[in-house]
Amino acid sequence: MTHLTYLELESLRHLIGECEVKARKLEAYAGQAESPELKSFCRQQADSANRSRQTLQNFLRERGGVQ
Amino acid sequence: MKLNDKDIAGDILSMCKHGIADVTKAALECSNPRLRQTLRQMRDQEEQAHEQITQMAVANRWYLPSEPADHRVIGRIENYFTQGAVPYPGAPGTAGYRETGPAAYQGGWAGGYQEPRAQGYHEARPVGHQEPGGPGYHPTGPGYREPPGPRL
Repeated sequence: MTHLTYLELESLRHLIGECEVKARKLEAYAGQAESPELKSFCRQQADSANRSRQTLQNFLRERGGVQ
Repeated sequence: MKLNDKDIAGDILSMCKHGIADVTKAALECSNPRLRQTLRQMRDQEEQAHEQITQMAVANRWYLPSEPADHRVIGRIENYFTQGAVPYPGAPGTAGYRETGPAAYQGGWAGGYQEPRAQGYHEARPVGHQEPGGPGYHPTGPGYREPPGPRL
C-alpha cells in the first residue's frame, strides 16, 4: 500500500500552486508576445503546466496511490 | 504595462530554472515511487523547455549568453587550486594559512597565487593553441612579445 508523507504533501501543494500560476502567466504571455515562435512556445508550455497540475492533483485525489 | 518579447523570454527562463530546481528537490525528498517518477518526468520536460527557450532567446538577442573565459584567467584559477592554497581564513598568521612556497603572494589572502608572467607562472592553453612567439616561446622568456591588440 502506498501513502503520501507530509513532506510529499507539502511538495504537491507547492508544485500544484506553481503550475497554476505558471499556466496563467504563460497564457497571458501568449496573448502579449509579438514573435509567433514565442507565442506558440507560451501556448505549448501553458498546456504542459496545466497537464502537470492535473497529474499532481490526481495524487491528492488518489490519496497517494490508495484507491 | 505591456511586456515585450525580451521581458517575456527572460521571465520564462527564470521560471524554468526555478521550476527545475523545485521539482528536482521534491523528487529527491520523495519516497512514493510513482510520485518520484512523475516528478522526474516533469523535470525532464522542464529541461527541454528551458533548452528551447534559451536557444530562442539567444537567437533573437533577448538574452546575452556568457562569453568563453580567457584562458589566462582559467590558468590563474587552475594555479590557485593546483598549488593547494587556503584562501579563507587566509591572512598570514591566522589559523588555516599555509605558505605554498616561494611564489606565495605576500599581500594576504591568496597564498600561492601568482600574477601572470611572474616566475614559474604557466598559462593554461587550449589544445592546439599557437603561441605568438613561435616554438620555444615562454611568457617569461627573452623572446616574449605581447600578442597583437584587437583590430579596430
